This record gives sequence, structure tokens and C-alpha cells, in this order.
Amino acid sequence: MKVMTKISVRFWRGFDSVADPILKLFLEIGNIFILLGELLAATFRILTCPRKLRHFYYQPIMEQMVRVGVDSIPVVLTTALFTGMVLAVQTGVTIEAKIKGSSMFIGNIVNLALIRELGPVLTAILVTGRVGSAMAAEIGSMKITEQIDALRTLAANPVEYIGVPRFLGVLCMMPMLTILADVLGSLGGWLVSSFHLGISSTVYWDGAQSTVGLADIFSGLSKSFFFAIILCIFALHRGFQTYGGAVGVGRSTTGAVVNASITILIADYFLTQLYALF
Amino acid sequence: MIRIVNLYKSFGSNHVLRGVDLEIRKGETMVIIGRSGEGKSVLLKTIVKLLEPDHGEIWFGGKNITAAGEKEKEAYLRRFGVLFQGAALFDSLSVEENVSFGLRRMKNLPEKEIARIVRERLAMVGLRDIEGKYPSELSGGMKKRVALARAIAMDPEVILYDEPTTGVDPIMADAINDLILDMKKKLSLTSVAVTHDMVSAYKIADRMAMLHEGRIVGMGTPAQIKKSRNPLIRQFISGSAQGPIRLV
Repeated sequence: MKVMTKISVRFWRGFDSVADPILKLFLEIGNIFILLGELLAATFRILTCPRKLRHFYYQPIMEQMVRVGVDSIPVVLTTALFTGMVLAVQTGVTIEAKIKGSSMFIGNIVNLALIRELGPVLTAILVTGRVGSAMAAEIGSMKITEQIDALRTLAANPVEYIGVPRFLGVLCMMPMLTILADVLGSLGGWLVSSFHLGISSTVYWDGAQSTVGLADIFSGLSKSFFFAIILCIFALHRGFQTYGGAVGVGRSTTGAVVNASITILIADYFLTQLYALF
Repeated sequence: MIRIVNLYKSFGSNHVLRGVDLEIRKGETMVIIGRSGEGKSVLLKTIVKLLEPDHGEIWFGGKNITAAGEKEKEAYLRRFGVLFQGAALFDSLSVEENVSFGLRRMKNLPEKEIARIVRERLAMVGLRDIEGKYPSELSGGMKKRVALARAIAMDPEVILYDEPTTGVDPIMADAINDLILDMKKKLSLTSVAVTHDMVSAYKIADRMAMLHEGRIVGMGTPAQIKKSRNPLIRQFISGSAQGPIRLV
């Protein structure tokens, strides 16, 4: 009997240790979707109320657009330019070694890769690192200094007051940054193929034009919208859940960046598969 | 005015409030004393619905607030002002924007009127010509006073003070005590303060209640508390490490 009890206790302890993290994960996912629902509802409320938008949200939204968009331009452009250059070097040298003369397709390969995948993904990861971390840290600091509680006592909804300007800022600027990254990446590829691989500009740009269609541009830009939502929701979620002083702020910041980056990469795969169906 | 009945609140396995019963009368200043970590701030946040109780009721002016819907909750919140422990001023907003935050959102007033109220409230807490400054440019005492101006800007009926004298020097602490008394006189406010600063508690309280291990263990006027024979109260007010309250 005693042996049976011991086995039973061990079994349930083992079950708990497996079930607990799974339950917590589902709870987190549930909370993220609840926050997303609240955020979308709050955004709709603000956008459909011109007085509210003009008086309380116009200025914060503009500030967020500058912080997310304008301030991210140097880092996004530099990264995109060099990514385009590296992509051209690696692709050009590799395919030329395999099939003589095939490096003339470098314009097709570089531009397609950039516009469909690298442009949106790289931009999203960079903006997540730069803006998502700052967002989670800022909201986390507000949480531990009771500023979020103060908002509630002044009958202001924190998701509306803090979340919406950031959400709209990221949602508007991410596709803009993606377009800039695509253009600079493409220019980087052209620089290397013209001056390093000796491919004529006409061949490079003709290749790009013949391969990249409107559907590719749409696929890249629409991905950047989804990535903006992912970035924002993780940064807000971790920020609002912060506890435990400065250590907690650090934990939230890291959590926001890591979770958002991983989710962006996973979402990219599924979105690519989804677009392949059409 | 506020009646708290059998209130329970836990965070996981940490049972913070274990059946709090407390009545706060209209126009009085009730000071809740107790050791740090006993749940005084949790009680305050539960009153103002920043935290939902696990069990129990909060009655305000004859209405059970724990069962209130969203609209009722908003109307209820408008009747409260809260002074948070660390002032909780919004970093990104100026003093003027902080004090007028609630006014701009909840009352449809012209800008001139808002500016007048902000000036008046700042003057009431002894501050002038700092409307354009930001919280990072203010001292601890000034931040608390600006936060008090923000709390009274909406003409609340009840004001909640969370450790009003923590983090300021003794002279500023006394000035804040005077302000609390002054606010009560000028605005006929009902006040609830939580503190472990006994100098402040004796000065501002009409009645005091001691919270220990999640329950109210004693209540009375400052004079009654000073004479109390309850060993828990005696140990706490004398500030002795020896006694029934164990150090954890």
C-alpha cells in the first residue's frame, strides 16, 4: 500500500512539473490575445473619435512615429545596404563558380530575396531590438513606479493611453522602413555587382524588374504589418506585466525582444507558406 | 462613508488580507498603521479598485462597489484622489500637464479655466511658477506636493494617502502632514492614510487602525491607541524589536 502511495505521489509530482509550464504558456498566450483585443478595440475607439484623436493622441502618435521611424533610419539603412552587398558577393561568387555566366542573374536573386524576405524580416528584427526593448523598459518603469496605477485612478485606460500611440507609430513606420531597407539593400547589391563582379547595371536592374512583381512587393510589405503587430504586442505585454524593480524591468526588456524576434521568424515562415498558396 | 466587510486578498500562496473589517466615517482621517509588507497598500489599492478582492465587500455611500459595473466603477473612481508612495507623476508630462491630466480628460473645461484650477491647486500645496517643469527637475518633497495637487484637482470626496511621508526629510514630512490637515479643513475631505510613521499618524489621524497579519487588530483615536494594552499595538507604537510581532 505504502509503495503504491509513493508511486502515486511521484507520478502526480512528475505530472505537475510537466503540466505547470504548459498551463503557464497557455495562460500567457491567452493574456497576449486579450491584450491584442483590447489594443485593437482602443485603437478603433480613438480613430473613430476625431475630438479625442486631435486633443489627446495626435501629438503622442507623431512622437512615436519619430521615435520608431525617423530615429531608426540610420541603423536600418546601414544594415540593409551591407546586407544587400554581402548577399550579392556570396550569391555572385557561388553561382558563378557552379555555372559560368550565371552571375548575370544576381539582380533577380538579390532583389527577390530582399523584397520578399530579408527587407521585412531584418527591419522587424532591428526595430524590435531598438524600439521594442525601449518600449518594454519604459512601460515597465511606469509600472513599478505606480504610474500605470495613477493612470487608472485618473480614469485613463493604460492600454489606450500608452499602447495605442505606440501601436499606431510602429504600424505606420514599419512598412516605411521596410521600403527604405528594400531600396538600400538593392542599391548595395547593385554596387557590388557593378564594381566588384563586373556585371553591367542594365543587366542587374533588368533582372530585378523581370523577377520582382507587385505580388512580391505586397507580400513583403504585408509581412511588415504583421511583424509590427507582433513587436508591439510583446513589448506592451511584457511592459505591463513587469514586477520586481530594476531587475524586473531588465527581465521584461529581454523577454520582449527575445519573444518578439522568435515569433517574427516563426510567423515569417507561415506567412511565406500562406502567400505561396495564392 | 466607506465600509469594508470581511475582505480577503491573496497573491498566489501569499495571503495578504485575511478578513479585514473597517469603517471610515465621512469627513474623518483614518490612518492605517502596520509593519511594512502587512498589506496596507494592498488594502488602499483594493478600496480604489486597482486590485480586485478575492472575497468580501466594499460599500461606499450605501452601494456595494465590489459588484459595480464598468460605468459605475468609473463614476466611483472620480470621487477618489490618490497620493501614491513615490508620487507616481508621469515622467513625460510637465507639472501643469500632470495636475490637469484628469481635468482635461473628464471635464470639458476651457483652457483658461484649466490653467486657473492648476494654479490654484498648486498654490494650495505651496507651489508657484513650476507649471513648466518636469518631474525629473523636482525634489522628492516637491514631487509629493505636485502629486497631491493632482489628486485634489478633480475635487474628490475621498483622498487616499499611501505612505505620504516616506522618502522625505523630517521637516518636509511635517510640512506634508500640515498639508494633509489643511486639505481636510479647506476641502472637507474624507481621508485614508497608510503609514508606519507614528509621528505623522498621531498628527493627522482622527482614528487609527492597526493592520497585522491581514486583519485589523485594534482601532481607536490617537489617544486611545497610545493607551492601548494590546501587546501588538504596544510593540508597534513603541518601535520595539521584542514582543509578539516576530521579525521575519
